[in-house]
Amino acid sequence: MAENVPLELGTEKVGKLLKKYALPAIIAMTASSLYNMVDSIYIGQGVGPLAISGLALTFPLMNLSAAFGTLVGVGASTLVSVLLGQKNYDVAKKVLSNVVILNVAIGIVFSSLALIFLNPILYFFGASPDTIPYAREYMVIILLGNPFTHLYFGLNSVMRASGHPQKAMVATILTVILNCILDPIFIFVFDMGIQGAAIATIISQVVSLVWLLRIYCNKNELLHFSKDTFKLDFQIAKRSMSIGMAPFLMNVASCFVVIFINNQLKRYGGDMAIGAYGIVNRIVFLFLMIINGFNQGMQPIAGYNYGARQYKRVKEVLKLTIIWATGIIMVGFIVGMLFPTAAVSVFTSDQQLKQIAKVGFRYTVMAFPVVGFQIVVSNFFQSLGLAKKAIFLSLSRQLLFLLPLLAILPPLLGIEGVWLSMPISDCIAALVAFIMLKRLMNEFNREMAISEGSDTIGIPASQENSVELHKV
Amino acid sequence: MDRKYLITIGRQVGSGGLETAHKLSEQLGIKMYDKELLYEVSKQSGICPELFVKNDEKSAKQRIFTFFGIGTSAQENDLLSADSSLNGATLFKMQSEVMRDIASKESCIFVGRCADYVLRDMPDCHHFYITADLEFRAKRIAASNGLSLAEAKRFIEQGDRKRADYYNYYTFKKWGDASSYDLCIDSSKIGVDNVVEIIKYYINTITK
Repeated sequence: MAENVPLELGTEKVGKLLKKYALPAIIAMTASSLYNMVDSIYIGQGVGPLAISGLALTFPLMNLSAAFGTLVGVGASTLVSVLLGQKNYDVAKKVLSNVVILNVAIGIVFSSLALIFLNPILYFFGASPDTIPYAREYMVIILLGNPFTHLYFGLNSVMRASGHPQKAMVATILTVILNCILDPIFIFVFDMGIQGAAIATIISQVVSLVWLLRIYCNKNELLHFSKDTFKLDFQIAKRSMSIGMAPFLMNVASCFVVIFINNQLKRYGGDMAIGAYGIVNRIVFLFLMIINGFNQGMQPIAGYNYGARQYKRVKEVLKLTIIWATGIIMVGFIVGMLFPTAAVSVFTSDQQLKQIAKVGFRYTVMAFPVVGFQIVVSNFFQSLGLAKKAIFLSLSRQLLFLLPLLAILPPLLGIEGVWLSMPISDCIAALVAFIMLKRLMNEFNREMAISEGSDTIGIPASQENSVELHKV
Repeated sequence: MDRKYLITIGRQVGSGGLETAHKLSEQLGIKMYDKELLYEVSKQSGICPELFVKNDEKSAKQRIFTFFGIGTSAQENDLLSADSSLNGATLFKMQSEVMRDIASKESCIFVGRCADYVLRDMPDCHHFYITADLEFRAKRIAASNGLSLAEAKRFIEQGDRKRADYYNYYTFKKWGDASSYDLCIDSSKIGVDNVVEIIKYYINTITK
């Protein structure tokens, strides 16, 4: 949070606070997942079922690229927010310049390497001779535009951290709207196929980037570009990257899980299965992103009240977030169970692909009633500053239990085994989250009992026992 | 001496900086904030004091992420809770704001907590840094904490590193760099009482 922690976090009604803090995040998250969805829909409907598989193959590569973006972006925005909090504009400008330099550098290096080794990479990711042309066509354009993409995401996250969350949101929404308009023009009007979708993506990001650059060039803004700071500062680069390292590694890990899933799908279900997973992923992603929005809203509320020892309010916000998350994800569950064909038909009209995607969708949402709980709880641990436990919980669902299941089940059950791995892993992870939460709650209850016994721990601001504390 | 003025004191572990501050506070008749600041922040923010104390004492090089094979500093580990209000950066920001608030109201002395950086734009704010040679500091620490000389030296080394990490992390400067201060004094050469006299003389001359 860029702003100083407002006291309302400890006094205002929890429901009202959650609405206030979660809503902007939900809008931004929904926008970015719609962005990906639109690409898939146009490609699926406009180009064909194999193109969808080709596109799905590129997801891990694009996520890997985004991971490199967070390596700089997350760290730099943390630094900027610390610096602006102290009105240290000179160093903040240096950080901003380094965001530009590092993102462009990383973008160029990543693109060059990926372009040189594109074929082997895509085969490793699960491509076949039938799907690789689509994946290649798409990826070459995306990689050429990659330095701009990096710069756009990096500067946008600094914009958010520097006290302009609305402007950052406008930039995000601008790319979504542009992409929705440009996609059909390039795919249908110019008849450019999957390449057209890639071009539309890059153009919309470049336009948003230009808009951001214009803001950063405005000398009246507190944080703006200045010539004399434009050089690589190793100290700042090192610090940004060491902050961004953990989220980077988490992203890389989840990339490799997707690669493994894709390979198992190809082995037991062929190219179409990868496309089907791509479709299911896009739908499910929307629900997960909305939950993420709720999580972002929960974090400052839970964090502050935990610090203020108002355990009742901490519990209240957790409970409320779990209820909301479960409600949202139940929509996904119901759609998946009752109308899976209708949902996947949005992406493709191919009968075979629809059939596989329908089955995959059903399996994927099977454990959804407990998935909302799992995701909220792992974020809850994070917002209390219990980073290690949060990382463990987050890895448990996406990696720790999933990988062995993906290795064991498919040889026994075929493609059903691949699909089934996901809900089983979700359930085990939810159980683990439940146990860890139970323990934490017991701790809370103990502390609550203690603080009820004596007044010295939860110091209400109005009481005069501060005098006593001054003696320490 | 009716004009409001501020004093910040940075100090090496065992150099007598805190003692200097106590004596100045007594003799100049103004308040001194060391750890007291943390309780003030706690009172104003509603967040329990233990959290600020913990953040205050956190050693920056705890390798929490060793299972990833990399070491990141404790403050930097807050990244995972970058959005949470509990991370070190937010606590430091709250602490700084309370510090500036107090500083704008009354003449007072701040010890540590990057006060020279946080209050760098305040008018009539004078920054002092107290050093001393290792032997002098080790003797003081050994006496006050009941340690052997060797133990005291280790204690000093760790404490100084912690202070430097904390300072460098939040200020983007180098702890103990003379350009951050108005006057740097070696207490082992002249004794703590003379340090107090010199600062008093400095303040009396400047604020006349």
